[in-house]
Amino acid sequence: MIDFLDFDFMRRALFAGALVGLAAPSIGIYLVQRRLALMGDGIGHVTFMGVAVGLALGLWPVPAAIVFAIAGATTIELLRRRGKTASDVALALVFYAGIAGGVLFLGMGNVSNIAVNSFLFGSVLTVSGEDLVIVSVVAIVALAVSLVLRKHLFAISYDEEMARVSGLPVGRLNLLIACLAAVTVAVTAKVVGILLVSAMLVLPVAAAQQISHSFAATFRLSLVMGVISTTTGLVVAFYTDQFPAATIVLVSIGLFVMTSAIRRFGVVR
Amino acid sequence: MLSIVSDKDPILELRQAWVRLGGNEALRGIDFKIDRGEFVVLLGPNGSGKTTLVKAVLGLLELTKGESRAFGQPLHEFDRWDQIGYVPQRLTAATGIPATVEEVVLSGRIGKIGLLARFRPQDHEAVKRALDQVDLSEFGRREVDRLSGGQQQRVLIARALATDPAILVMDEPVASVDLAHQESFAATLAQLHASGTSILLVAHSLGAMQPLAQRAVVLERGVVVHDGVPSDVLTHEHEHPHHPDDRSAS
Repeated sequence: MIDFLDFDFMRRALFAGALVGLAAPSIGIYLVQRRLALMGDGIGHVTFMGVAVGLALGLWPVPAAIVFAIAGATTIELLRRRGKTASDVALALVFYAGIAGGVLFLGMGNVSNIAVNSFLFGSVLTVSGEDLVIVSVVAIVALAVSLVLRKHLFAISYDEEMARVSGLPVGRLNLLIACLAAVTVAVTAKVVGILLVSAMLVLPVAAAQQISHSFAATFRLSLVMGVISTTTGLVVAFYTDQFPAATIVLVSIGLFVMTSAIRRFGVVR
Repeated sequence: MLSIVSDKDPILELRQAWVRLGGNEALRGIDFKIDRGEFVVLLGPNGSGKTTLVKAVLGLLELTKGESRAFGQPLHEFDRWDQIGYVPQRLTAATGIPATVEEVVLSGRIGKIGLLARFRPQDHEAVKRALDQVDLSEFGRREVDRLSGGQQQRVLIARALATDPAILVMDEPVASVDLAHQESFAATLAQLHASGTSILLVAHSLGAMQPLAQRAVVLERGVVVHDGVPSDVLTHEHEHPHHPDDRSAS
Protein backbone atom coordinates (compact mmCIF):
# COMPACT_ATOMS: atom_id res chain seq x y z
CA MET A 1 0.00 0.00 0.00
CA ILE A 2 1.22 3.51 -0.82
CA ASP A 3 2.03 5.55 2.29
CA PHE A 4 0.27 8.92 2.07
CA LEU A 5 3.03 10.54 4.12
CA ASP A 6 5.50 9.85 1.30
CA PHE A 7 3.91 12.70 -0.66
CA ASP A 8 4.81 16.30 -0.01
CA PHE A 9 1.36 17.56 -1.07
CA MET A 10 -0.29 15.22 1.47
CA ARG A 11 1.96 16.40 4.30
CA ARG A 12 1.06 20.02 3.43
CA ALA A 13 -2.62 19.12 3.13
CA LEU A 14 -2.64 17.33 6.49
CA PHE A 15 -0.94 20.29 8.17
CA ALA A 16 -3.40 22.76 6.64
CA GLY A 17 -6.30 20.45 7.45
CA ALA A 18 -5.26 20.09 11.08
CA LEU A 19 -5.02 23.89 11.41
CA VAL A 20 -8.49 24.30 9.91
CA GLY A 21 -9.73 21.56 12.23
CA LEU A 22 -8.48 23.59 15.20
CA ALA A 23 -9.45 27.08 14.05
CA ALA A 24 -12.94 26.56 12.65
CA PRO A 25 -14.60 24.94 15.70
CA SER A 26 -12.83 27.35 18.08
CA ILE A 27 -14.82 30.19 16.47
CA GLY A 28 -17.83 28.09 15.45
CA ILE A 29 -18.63 27.21 19.06
CA TYR A 30 -19.71 30.80 19.73
CA LEU A 31 -21.90 30.84 16.61
CA VAL A 32 -23.54 27.55 17.60
CA GLN A 33 -24.14 28.88 21.11
CA ARG A 34 -25.88 31.95 19.75
CA ARG A 35 -27.94 29.83 17.34
CA LEU A 36 -26.10 31.38 14.41
CA ALA A 37 -24.88 28.05 13.03
CA LEU A 38 -25.78 29.10 9.50
CA MET A 39 -23.78 32.33 9.71
CA GLY A 40 -20.78 30.49 8.22
CA ASP A 41 -22.91 29.59 5.20
CA GLY A 42 -23.96 33.22 4.76
CA ILE A 43 -20.33 34.30 4.94
CA GLY A 44 -19.39 31.50 2.54
CA HIS A 45 -21.76 32.85 -0.09
CA VAL A 46 -20.26 36.33 0.18
CA THR A 47 -16.81 34.75 0.03
CA PHE A 48 -17.89 33.30 -3.32
CA MET A 49 -18.51 36.85 -4.55
CA GLY A 50 -15.03 37.87 -3.32
CA VAL A 51 -13.42 34.91 -5.08
CA ALA A 52 -15.36 35.77 -8.26
CA VAL A 53 -14.16 39.40 -8.13
CA GLY A 54 -10.57 38.25 -7.58
CA LEU A 55 -10.70 35.75 -10.44
CA ALA A 56 -12.49 38.17 -12.79
CA LEU A 57 -9.87 40.86 -12.17
CA GLY A 58 -7.00 38.37 -12.46
CA LEU A 59 -5.97 38.88 -8.82
CA TRP A 60 -5.10 36.41 -6.07
CA PRO A 61 -8.65 35.50 -4.93
CA VAL A 62 -7.92 34.87 -1.21
CA PRO A 63 -7.43 38.54 -0.16
CA ALA A 64 -10.57 39.56 -2.09
CA ALA A 65 -12.44 36.70 -0.44
CA ILE A 66 -11.30 37.89 3.00
CA VAL A 67 -12.45 41.48 2.34
CA PHE A 68 -15.87 40.36 1.07
CA ALA A 69 -16.29 37.83 3.87
CA ILE A 70 -15.60 40.49 6.53
CA ALA A 71 -18.06 42.87 4.83
CA GLY A 72 -20.70 40.10 4.75
CA ALA A 73 -20.16 39.10 8.38
CA THR A 74 -20.32 42.72 9.52
CA THR A 75 -23.56 43.21 7.58
CA ILE A 76 -25.14 40.12 9.15
CA GLU A 77 -24.08 41.22 12.63
CA LEU A 78 -25.31 44.80 12.19
CA LEU A 79 -28.65 43.69 10.71
CA ARG A 80 -29.07 41.24 13.58
CA ARG A 81 -28.13 43.85 16.18
CA ARG A 82 -30.58 46.44 14.90
CA GLY A 83 -33.26 43.89 15.69
CA LYS A 84 -35.57 45.07 12.94
CA THR A 85 -34.39 42.25 10.69
CA ALA A 86 -34.60 38.75 12.11
CA SER A 87 -31.35 36.74 12.10
CA ASP A 88 -32.64 34.27 9.48
CA VAL A 89 -33.82 37.06 7.17
CA ALA A 90 -30.48 38.88 7.58
CA LEU A 91 -28.68 35.65 6.66
CA ALA A 92 -30.96 35.05 3.66
CA LEU A 93 -30.29 38.56 2.36
CA VAL A 94 -26.54 38.00 2.53
CA PHE A 95 -26.84 34.47 1.04
CA TYR A 96 -28.65 35.69 -2.06
CA ALA A 97 -26.61 38.86 -2.51
CA GLY A 98 -23.41 36.80 -2.32
CA ILE A 99 -24.46 34.20 -4.87
CA ALA A 100 -26.00 36.76 -7.24
CA GLY A 101 -22.93 39.01 -7.03
CA GLY A 102 -20.59 36.03 -7.53
CA VAL A 103 -22.42 34.81 -10.61
CA LEU A 104 -22.51 38.36 -11.98
CA PHE A 105 -18.73 38.88 -11.61
CA LEU A 106 -17.92 35.42 -13.01
CA GLY A 107 -20.05 36.32 -16.02
CA MET A 108 -18.21 39.62 -16.47
CA GLY A 109 -14.74 38.00 -16.34
CA ASN A 110 -13.29 35.22 -18.41
CA VAL A 111 -12.88 32.76 -15.56
CA SER A 112 -12.03 29.07 -15.98
CA ASN A 113 -14.31 26.47 -14.43
CA ILE A 114 -11.32 24.76 -12.81
CA ALA A 115 -10.44 27.89 -10.84
CA VAL A 116 -14.04 28.35 -9.72
CA ASN A 117 -14.44 24.69 -8.79
CA SER A 118 -11.30 24.70 -6.66
CA PHE A 119 -12.96 27.28 -4.40
CA LEU A 120 -16.48 25.86 -4.56
CA PHE A 121 -15.40 22.32 -3.68
CA GLY A 122 -11.98 22.95 -2.13
CA SER A 123 -8.58 21.86 -3.37
CA VAL A 124 -6.67 20.99 -0.28
CA LEU A 125 -4.29 18.78 -2.28
CA THR A 126 -3.04 21.84 -4.15
CA VAL A 127 -2.33 23.90 -1.03
CA SER A 128 0.75 25.99 -1.76
CA GLY A 129 3.40 27.27 0.61
CA GLU A 130 1.76 30.72 0.55
CA ASP A 131 -1.62 29.19 1.35
CA LEU A 132 -0.08 27.34 4.25
CA VAL A 133 1.36 30.53 5.72
CA ILE A 134 -2.03 32.29 5.52
CA VAL A 135 -3.90 29.33 6.99
CA SER A 136 -1.35 29.10 9.82
CA VAL A 137 -1.60 32.79 10.70
CA VAL A 138 -5.42 32.76 10.65
CA ALA A 139 -5.59 29.55 12.67
CA ILE A 140 -3.21 30.86 15.34
CA VAL A 141 -5.09 34.19 15.62
CA ALA A 142 -8.51 32.51 15.74
CA LEU A 143 -7.39 30.00 18.33
CA ALA A 144 -5.61 32.63 20.44
CA VAL A 145 -8.60 35.00 20.47
CA SER A 146 -11.09 32.27 21.24
CA LEU A 147 -8.92 30.95 24.07
CA VAL A 148 -7.97 34.28 25.63
CA LEU A 149 -11.50 35.71 25.47
CA ARG A 150 -13.24 32.41 26.21
CA LYS A 151 -14.77 33.55 29.51
CA HIS A 152 -16.16 36.73 27.99
CA LEU A 153 -17.40 35.11 24.80
CA PHE A 154 -19.07 32.37 26.85
CA ALA A 155 -20.86 34.98 28.99
CA ILE A 156 -22.10 36.79 25.86
CA SER A 157 -23.15 33.64 24.04
CA TYR A 158 -24.93 32.28 27.10
CA ASP A 159 -26.86 35.41 28.04
CA GLU A 160 -26.27 38.56 26.01
CA GLU A 161 -28.45 40.77 28.24
CA MET A 162 -26.61 39.75 31.38
CA ALA A 163 -23.30 40.33 29.61
CA ARG A 164 -24.42 43.86 28.72
CA VAL A 165 -25.40 44.56 32.32
CA SER A 166 -21.98 43.27 33.37
CA GLY A 167 -20.51 46.06 31.25
CA LEU A 168 -18.92 43.87 28.57
CA PRO A 169 -18.41 45.52 25.16
CA VAL A 170 -20.93 43.05 23.71
CA GLY A 171 -21.32 44.75 20.33
CA ARG A 172 -17.58 44.92 19.70
CA LEU A 173 -16.94 41.33 20.84
CA ASN A 174 -19.80 40.01 18.67
CA LEU A 175 -18.33 41.89 15.73
CA LEU A 176 -14.89 40.46 16.50
CA ILE A 177 -16.25 36.91 16.42
CA ALA A 178 -18.18 37.62 13.19
CA CYS A 179 -15.00 38.98 11.55
CA LEU A 180 -12.88 36.07 12.79
CA ALA A 181 -15.51 33.67 11.43
CA ALA A 182 -15.34 35.55 8.14
CA VAL A 183 -11.56 35.32 7.86
CA THR A 184 -11.63 31.66 8.89
CA VAL A 185 -14.28 30.90 6.26
CA ALA A 186 -12.44 32.79 3.52
CA VAL A 187 -9.18 31.00 4.22
CA THR A 188 -10.78 27.62 4.92
CA ALA A 189 -12.59 27.76 1.59
CA LYS A 190 -9.39 26.62 -0.11
CA VAL A 191 -9.43 23.45 2.01
CA VAL A 192 -13.07 22.34 2.21
CA GLY A 193 -14.66 24.59 -0.37
CA ILE A 194 -17.20 27.39 -0.07
CA LEU A 195 -20.15 25.01 -0.30
CA LEU A 196 -19.06 23.00 2.74
CA VAL A 197 -17.04 25.54 4.67
CA SER A 198 -19.71 26.13 7.30
CA ALA A 199 -19.65 22.44 8.19
CA MET A 200 -16.25 22.75 9.85
CA LEU A 201 -17.50 25.63 11.99
CA VAL A 202 -20.53 23.72 13.16
CA LEU A 203 -20.24 19.92 12.93
CA PRO A 204 -17.29 19.31 15.30
CA VAL A 205 -19.05 21.49 17.89
CA ALA A 206 -22.34 19.68 17.39
CA ALA A 207 -20.59 16.32 17.79
CA ALA A 208 -18.73 17.42 20.92
CA GLN A 209 -21.89 18.91 22.43
CA GLN A 210 -23.53 15.48 22.48
CA ILE A 211 -21.11 13.98 24.99
CA SER A 212 -19.92 17.00 27.00
CA HIS A 213 -21.48 18.35 30.15
CA SER A 214 -19.56 21.60 30.40
CA PHE A 215 -18.61 24.43 28.09
CA ALA A 216 -14.90 23.90 28.73
CA ALA A 217 -15.15 20.20 27.77
CA THR A 218 -17.22 21.05 24.67
CA PHE A 219 -14.57 23.55 23.59
CA ARG A 220 -11.67 21.10 23.95
CA LEU A 221 -13.54 18.18 22.39
CA SER A 222 -14.66 20.35 19.44
CA LEU A 223 -11.02 20.97 18.54
CA VAL A 224 -10.24 17.25 18.78
CA MET A 225 -13.27 16.44 16.59
CA GLY A 226 -12.19 19.12 14.10
CA VAL A 227 -8.68 17.71 13.72
CA ILE A 228 -9.93 14.10 13.49
CA SER A 229 -12.44 15.14 10.79
CA THR A 230 -9.96 16.95 8.57
CA THR A 231 -7.04 14.55 8.86
CA THR A 232 -9.11 11.36 8.61
CA GLY A 233 -11.13 12.86 5.75
CA LEU A 234 -7.92 13.67 3.85
CA VAL A 235 -6.50 10.19 4.27
CA VAL A 236 -9.80 8.61 3.18
CA ALA A 237 -9.87 10.91 0.13
CA PHE A 238 -6.28 9.92 -0.73
CA TYR A 239 -7.03 6.19 -0.75
CA THR A 240 -10.51 6.40 -2.34
CA ASP A 241 -9.65 9.11 -4.90
CA GLN A 242 -12.56 11.30 -3.83
CA PHE A 243 -12.92 15.05 -3.19
CA PRO A 244 -11.34 15.69 0.25
CA ALA A 245 -14.03 18.27 1.09
CA ALA A 246 -16.69 15.58 0.84
CA THR A 247 -14.80 12.98 2.90
CA ILE A 248 -13.87 15.57 5.57
CA VAL A 249 -17.50 16.62 6.02
CA LEU A 250 -18.74 13.02 5.92
CA VAL A 251 -16.26 12.06 8.64
CA SER A 252 -17.59 15.01 10.71
CA ILE A 253 -21.14 13.79 10.22
CA GLY A 254 -20.00 10.28 11.16
CA LEU A 255 -18.55 11.63 14.40
CA PHE A 256 -21.81 13.45 15.12
CA VAL A 257 -23.84 10.27 14.55
CA MET A 258 -21.43 8.35 16.78
CA THR A 259 -21.54 10.83 19.67
CA SER A 260 -25.33 11.11 19.35
CA ALA A 261 -25.57 7.33 19.65
CA ILE A 262 -23.26 7.37 22.68
CA ARG A 263 -25.48 9.98 24.29
CA ARG A 264 -28.68 8.18 23.36
CA PHE A 265 -27.55 4.91 24.85
CA GLY A 266 -26.51 6.67 28.01
CA VAL A 267 -22.81 5.88 27.97
CA VAL A 268 -22.04 9.46 29.02
CA ARG A 269 -23.92 12.31 30.70
CA MET B 1 -19.61 47.09 49.52
CA LEU B 2 -17.78 49.63 47.38
CA SER B 3 -19.21 53.13 47.55
CA ILE B 4 -18.68 55.05 44.34
CA VAL B 5 -20.95 58.08 44.67
CA SER B 6 -22.60 60.15 47.33
CA ASP B 7 -25.37 58.44 49.30
CA LYS B 8 -27.77 61.12 48.14
CA ASP B 9 -27.73 59.97 44.53
CA PRO B 10 -30.36 57.41 43.56
CA ILE B 11 -28.71 54.14 42.57
CA LEU B 12 -30.92 53.80 39.50
CA GLU B 13 -33.16 56.47 38.05
CA LEU B 14 -35.43 57.17 35.11
CA ARG B 15 -36.45 60.75 34.38
CA GLN B 16 -39.48 61.32 32.17
CA ALA B 17 -38.68 58.09 30.35
CA TRP B 18 -40.55 57.08 27.22
CA VAL B 19 -39.97 53.77 25.47
CA ARG B 20 -41.61 52.76 22.21
CA LEU B 21 -41.89 49.03 21.43
CA GLY B 22 -43.51 47.62 18.31
CA GLY B 23 -45.32 50.85 17.57
CA ASN B 24 -46.73 51.18 21.11
CA GLU B 25 -45.63 53.44 23.92
CA ALA B 26 -44.55 50.84 26.50
CA LEU B 27 -43.43 53.50 28.99
CA ARG B 28 -45.03 56.92 29.01
CA GLY B 29 -43.09 59.62 30.81
CA ILE B 30 -42.02 57.51 33.79
CA ASP B 31 -40.21 59.00 36.75
CA PHE B 32 -38.68 56.25 38.82
CA LYS B 33 -35.80 55.92 41.23
CA ILE B 34 -34.38 53.57 43.78
CA ASP B 35 -32.18 54.95 46.53
CA ARG B 36 -29.20 53.37 48.21
CA GLY B 37 -30.30 50.63 50.60
CA GLU B 38 -33.93 50.61 49.44
CA PHE B 39 -36.00 47.49 48.79
CA VAL B 40 -38.53 48.28 46.07
CA VAL B 41 -41.09 45.92 44.57
CA LEU B 42 -42.38 46.71 41.08
CA LEU B 43 -45.90 45.43 40.52
CA GLY B 44 -48.44 45.48 37.71
CA PRO B 45 -50.46 43.30 35.35
CA ASN B 46 -49.14 41.74 32.13
CA GLY B 47 -48.22 44.36 29.56
CA SER B 48 -48.04 47.12 32.15
CA GLY B 49 -44.37 47.80 31.35
CA LYS B 50 -42.54 46.22 34.30
CA THR B 51 -39.91 44.38 32.25
CA THR B 52 -39.62 47.36 29.91
CA LEU B 53 -38.91 49.62 32.90
CA VAL B 54 -36.24 47.25 34.19
CA LYS B 55 -34.59 47.00 30.79
CA ALA B 56 -34.78 50.76 30.30
CA VAL B 57 -33.21 51.50 33.66
CA LEU B 58 -30.37 49.06 32.87
CA GLY B 59 -29.81 50.45 29.38
CA LEU B 60 -30.98 47.27 27.63
CA LEU B 61 -33.69 49.25 25.85
CA GLU B 62 -33.22 52.64 24.29
CA LEU B 63 -35.34 55.51 25.59
CA THR B 64 -37.25 57.44 22.95
CA LYS B 65 -37.34 60.39 25.35
CA GLY B 66 -36.07 61.07 28.83
CA GLU B 67 -32.98 60.07 30.75
CA SER B 68 -31.62 57.02 32.51
CA ARG B 69 -29.02 57.37 35.27
CA ALA B 70 -27.03 54.94 37.42
CA PHE B 71 -25.27 55.95 40.63
CA GLY B 72 -25.87 59.59 39.73
CA GLN B 73 -24.27 59.34 36.29
CA PRO B 74 -25.98 59.36 32.90
CA LEU B 75 -26.10 55.73 31.80
CA HIS B 76 -23.89 56.31 28.75
CA GLU B 77 -21.11 57.57 31.06
CA PHE B 78 -21.58 54.91 33.73
CA ASP B 79 -18.79 52.32 33.90
CA ARG B 80 -19.21 50.54 37.24
CA TRP B 81 -21.46 47.80 35.93
CA ASP B 82 -19.92 45.32 38.35
CA GLN B 83 -22.05 47.03 41.02
CA ILE B 84 -25.25 45.75 39.44
CA GLY B 85 -26.57 42.19 39.71
CA TYR B 86 -29.33 41.26 37.27
CA VAL B 87 -31.69 38.31 37.10
CA PRO B 88 -33.54 38.47 33.76
CA GLN B 89 -37.08 37.28 33.28
CA ARG B 90 -36.58 33.73 32.07
CA LEU B 91 -38.21 30.48 32.97
CA THR B 92 -34.95 28.56 32.98
CA ALA B 93 -31.22 29.02 32.71
CA ALA B 94 -30.92 26.27 30.11
CA THR B 95 -30.08 27.20 26.54
CA GLY B 96 -29.27 23.75 25.15
CA ILE B 97 -25.55 24.51 25.40
CA PRO B 98 -23.66 22.25 27.75
CA ALA B 99 -22.59 24.33 30.73
CA THR B 100 -22.15 23.50 34.37
CA VAL B 101 -23.78 25.40 37.22
CA GLU B 102 -20.34 26.70 38.23
CA GLU B 103 -19.59 27.97 34.72
CA VAL B 104 -22.87 29.87 34.54
CA VAL B 105 -22.59 31.36 38.03
CA LEU B 106 -18.92 32.27 37.46
CA SER B 107 -19.97 34.17 34.32
CA GLY B 108 -21.71 36.59 36.71
CA ARG B 109 -18.22 37.72 37.82
CA ILE B 110 -17.16 38.59 34.28
CA GLY B 111 -17.60 42.34 34.84
CA LYS B 112 -15.06 42.22 37.67
CA ILE B 113 -12.10 41.00 35.62
CA GLY B 114 -10.32 42.58 32.67
CA LEU B 115 -10.65 41.30 29.13
CA LEU B 116 -7.34 39.45 29.29
CA ALA B 117 -7.48 38.45 32.96
CA ARG B 118 -8.22 35.09 34.50
CA PHE B 119 -10.74 34.43 37.26
CA ARG B 120 -9.13 34.85 40.68
CA PRO B 121 -9.57 32.79 43.89
CA GLN B 122 -12.00 35.41 45.22
CA ASP B 123 -14.19 34.92 42.13
CA HIS B 124 -14.46 31.19 42.86
CA GLU B 125 -15.16 31.93 46.53
CA ALA B 126 -17.98 34.31 45.52
CA VAL B 127 -19.47 31.55 43.36
CA LYS B 128 -19.33 29.10 46.25
CA ARG B 129 -21.01 31.64 48.54
CA ALA B 130 -23.74 32.38 45.99
CA LEU B 131 -24.45 28.67 45.46
CA ASP B 132 -24.72 28.22 49.24
CA GLN B 133 -27.21 31.08 49.39
CA VAL B 134 -29.54 29.39 46.91
CA ASP B 135 -29.02 25.87 48.34
CA LEU B 136 -27.18 24.63 45.25
CA SER B 137 -23.74 24.07 46.76
CA GLU B 138 -23.86 20.37 45.83
CA PHE B 139 -24.77 21.14 42.21
CA GLY B 140 -21.69 23.05 41.03
CA ARG B 141 -20.47 20.36 38.61
CA ARG B 142 -23.94 19.46 37.35
CA GLU B 143 -25.08 20.38 33.86
CA VAL B 144 -27.58 23.22 34.03
CA ASP B 145 -30.07 21.88 31.50
CA ARG B 146 -30.38 18.67 33.50
CA LEU B 147 -31.80 20.59 36.49
CA SER B 148 -35.46 21.31 37.18
CA GLY B 149 -36.97 24.66 36.14
CA GLY B 150 -36.90 25.94 39.73
CA GLN B 151 -33.28 24.88 40.21
CA GLN B 152 -32.31 26.58 36.96
CA GLN B 153 -33.94 29.78 38.12
CA ARG B 154 -31.93 29.55 41.34
CA VAL B 155 -28.80 29.22 39.20
CA LEU B 156 -29.66 32.59 37.60
CA ILE B 157 -30.24 34.10 41.04
CA ALA B 158 -26.87 32.72 42.20
CA ARG B 159 -25.20 34.25 39.13
CA ALA B 160 -26.54 37.68 40.15
CA LEU B 161 -25.60 37.16 43.82
CA ALA B 162 -22.06 36.15 42.80
CA THR B 163 -21.45 39.68 41.55
CA ASP B 164 -21.57 40.97 45.17
CA PRO B 165 -23.64 43.85 43.82
CA ALA B 166 -24.58 47.17 45.38
CA ILE B 167 -28.00 46.67 43.78
CA LEU B 168 -29.81 43.52 42.72
CA VAL B 169 -32.34 43.91 39.92
CA MET B 170 -34.57 40.87 39.55
CA ASP B 171 -37.34 40.38 37.03
CA GLU B 172 -39.73 37.79 38.47
CA PRO B 173 -36.92 35.69 39.89
CA VAL B 174 -39.10 33.15 41.70
CA ALA B 175 -41.74 32.56 39.01
CA SER B 176 -41.07 28.81 38.89
CA VAL B 177 -39.40 28.32 42.26
CA ASP B 178 -41.24 26.15 44.79
CA LEU B 179 -42.67 27.66 47.97
CA ALA B 180 -39.95 26.34 50.27
CA HIS B 181 -37.23 27.89 48.17
CA GLN B 182 -39.23 31.13 47.76
CA GLU B 183 -39.14 31.46 51.55
CA SER B 184 -35.46 30.66 51.66
CA PHE B 185 -34.91 33.20 48.84
CA ALA B 186 -36.84 35.83 50.84
CA ALA B 187 -34.56 35.12 53.82
CA THR B 188 -31.48 35.55 51.60
CA LEU B 189 -32.84 38.87 50.30
CA ALA B 190 -33.56 40.01 53.86
CA GLN B 191 -29.95 39.25 54.78
CA LEU B 192 -28.56 41.05 51.72
CA HIS B 193 -30.80 44.03 52.31
CA ALA B 194 -29.72 44.18 55.95
CA SER B 195 -26.09 44.29 54.78
CA GLY B 196 -26.84 47.35 52.62
CA THR B 197 -27.67 45.91 49.21
CA SER B 198 -30.41 47.79 47.34
CA ILE B 199 -33.05 45.57 45.80
CA LEU B 200 -35.42 46.12 42.89
CA LEU B 201 -37.73 43.17 42.43
CA VAL B 202 -40.39 42.73 39.76
CA ALA B 203 -43.30 40.58 40.86
CA HIS B 204 -46.95 39.98 40.19
CA SER B 205 -47.80 40.00 43.85
CA LEU B 206 -46.06 41.03 47.03
CA GLY B 207 -46.34 37.52 48.48
CA ALA B 208 -43.39 36.58 50.66
CA MET B 209 -41.73 39.94 49.91
CA GLN B 210 -44.37 42.02 51.70
CA PRO B 211 -42.58 42.19 55.05
CA LEU B 212 -39.28 43.07 53.30
CA ALA B 213 -40.39 45.68 50.75
CA GLN B 214 -40.08 49.30 51.82
CA ARG B 215 -41.78 50.71 48.76
CA ALA B 216 -44.10 49.34 46.10
CA VAL B 217 -44.36 50.90 42.65
CA VAL B 218 -47.35 49.88 40.57
CA LEU B 219 -47.41 50.23 36.80
CA GLU B 220 -50.41 50.17 34.51
CA ARG B 221 -50.17 50.72 30.76
CA GLY B 222 -46.73 52.25 31.00
CA VAL B 223 -47.57 54.72 33.74
CA VAL B 224 -46.85 54.69 37.48
CA VAL B 225 -50.21 54.55 39.24
CA HIS B 226 -48.89 54.03 42.74
CA ASP B 227 -45.59 54.74 44.45
CA GLY B 228 -45.67 54.29 48.21
CA VAL B 229 -45.73 51.90 51.09
CA PRO B 230 -46.61 48.31 50.20
CA SER B 231 -49.59 48.13 52.58
CA ASP B 232 -51.35 50.80 50.48
CA VAL B 233 -51.03 48.56 47.43
CA LEU B 234 -52.98 45.83 49.16
CA THR B 235 -55.58 48.35 50.30
CA HIS B 236 -56.03 49.79 46.82
CA GLU B 237 -56.23 46.37 45.20
CA HIS B 238 -53.41 47.12 42.81
CA GLU B 239 -51.90 43.77 43.54
CA HIS B 240 -52.64 41.20 40.86
CA PRO B 241 -52.99 37.52 41.59
CA HIS B 242 -50.63 35.15 39.85
CA HIS B 243 -52.11 33.73 36.70
CA PRO B 244 -50.80 30.95 34.40
CA ASP B 245 -50.31 33.48 31.61
CA ASP B 246 -48.30 35.78 33.82
CA ARG B 247 -45.00 34.43 32.58
CA SER B 248 -45.20 36.29 29.30
CA ALA B 249 -43.05 39.40 28.97
CA SER B 250 -44.69 42.41 30.46
